[in-house]
Amino acid sequence: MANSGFQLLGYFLALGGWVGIIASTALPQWKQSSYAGDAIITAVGLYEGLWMSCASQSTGQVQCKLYDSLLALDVHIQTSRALMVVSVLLGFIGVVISVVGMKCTRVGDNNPVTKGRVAVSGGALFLLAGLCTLTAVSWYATLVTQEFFNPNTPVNARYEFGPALFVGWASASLIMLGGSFLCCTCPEGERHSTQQPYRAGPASASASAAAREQIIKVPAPMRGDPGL
Amino acid sequence: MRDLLQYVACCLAFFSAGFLIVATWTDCWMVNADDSLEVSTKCRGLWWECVTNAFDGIRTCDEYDSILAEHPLKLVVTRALMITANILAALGFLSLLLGLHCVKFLPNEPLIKVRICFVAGILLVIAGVPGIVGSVWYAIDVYVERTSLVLHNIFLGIQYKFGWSCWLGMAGALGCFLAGAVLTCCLYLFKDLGPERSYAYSLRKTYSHAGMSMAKSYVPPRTETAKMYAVDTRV
Repeated sequence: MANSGFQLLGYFLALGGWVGIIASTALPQWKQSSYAGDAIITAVGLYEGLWMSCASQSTGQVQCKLYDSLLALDVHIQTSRALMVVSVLLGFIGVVISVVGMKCTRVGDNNPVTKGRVAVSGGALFLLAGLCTLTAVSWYATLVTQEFFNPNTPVNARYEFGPALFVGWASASLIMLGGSFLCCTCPEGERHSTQQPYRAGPASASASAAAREQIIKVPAPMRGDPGL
Repeated sequence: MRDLLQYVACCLAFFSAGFLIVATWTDCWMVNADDSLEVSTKCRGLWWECVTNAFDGIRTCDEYDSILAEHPLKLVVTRALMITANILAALGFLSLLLGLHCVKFLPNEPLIKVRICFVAGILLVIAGVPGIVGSVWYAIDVYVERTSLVLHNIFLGIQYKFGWSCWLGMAGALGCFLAGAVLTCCLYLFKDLGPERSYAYSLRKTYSHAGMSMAKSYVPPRTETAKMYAVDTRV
C-alpha cells in the first residue's frame, strides 16, 4: 500500500511532465533542417513547430511566422495540435483533482475511500494526458522519418527531429510514471468491500450492505494517515 | 475566515509569481508608440528585440549580444532585479504552500504553520520590492527618453512607450505586496479569532471554561470541595 510520500513523488513527477508538455506544445522546434546532405547550408537553419515556422540566420536573428490558415494545414499538424492541447487540458484537470485526492491535504478527510478514488482518477487523467502526448509526438516523428527517407525529397530540404520532440517524449514518460504512481494508491476500503460478501455468507442483501458500510466506516478515522 | 484569507493569499501569490516570471522572459518591455510612421510592431525586452510585420505576420527577433558585452546599465540592473524577484516570489509561494492549513505538513503544530505563513508573507513582500523597482525604473527610463526626444523636437526615429511585459511586471510586484500584506497583517489580526488552534487545545479550553463557570456559580468553600474529594477517594 502506497504511503503519502509515494503519492507526493508521483504528483511532482506528473507536475514536471505537465510543464514539459506545455513547453513542447509551445516550442517551434518540432522538426529542424538536417545537415545530412553534401551541400551544407549553414547560413540559415529552418525549423517548424505546431504553430509557426522559423528561420534562424547565422547573424543571430530569428524570423518566425505563424501558420496562416488553419484549414489548409496538413492533417498531422492539426491532429498533433489537437492532441497536445487536449493533453495539456487533461493534465491541468489532473493537477487540480489529485491535489484534492492526495493524502497530504485535508480536503475531504472524513471519507478516505472517496479521497483515494479521487486520487486514482487524477492519476488516470495523467495517464491519459501522457498517452495523448505520446501519440502526437510519435506520429509526428514517424512522418518526419518517412519524409527523410523518402527518395523523392531533395537532399537539402530534409528535416529531422527537433528538441521539442524529445521534450515531448520525456515529459510524456514523466507524466505517465507519475500518473501510475498515483493510481497505485488504491484505497484500502475498496479491498474490504470486495472481500466482504464472502465473509458475510448467506445473509440478506440489506444486512450485508449494512455490514459492509460498517466495515468501511468504522476504521476510516483511525486510518487517517498523519501525512508526510 | 483565516482559511479563506490563506487561500486568497495563495491565489494572489501564485498569479503574481507567474506574472513576474512571464514578464521577465517575454520581450515587450517597450513597444513603439502608435504615432510613429511604422507598419510594424517593435518590441524590446530584457533579452530579445523583436519586430513583427503588420501585414504578413513575420516576426524577426534579434538576441542582444553576449552577456559580457556592453549593455546599458538599465538593462543589466533590470534583469538582475527581475530574476531576484522571480526567485524570491517562487520561494515565498512554495513556503506558503507548506504553511497552508489544508496541507498536512506538521499537522500537530499549528503555531509553526502560522509562522511559516508569516515567513512566506515576508518573502513575498521582499520579492515585490525588486520587482516594482525594476519595472518602474524601466518605465521611468522609457518615459524620460521619450520626453527628452519630444522636448528636443525630434520626431524622426522610433519612439517607445511601455509594453505589456512592463505592466505585467508591475502587476506581479503589486500582487506580491498584496499577498504579503494579507499573510502578515491580516493573519495577525485574525490570530485570536481563528477557531483552528487544534482540536485538542480548543476542547480543553472550553472544558476548563465550563469548569470555572460552574465553580463560580457554586462558590463553594474550599473545605466542602475538600470533603467531596475525600468522599470520592473513600468510595
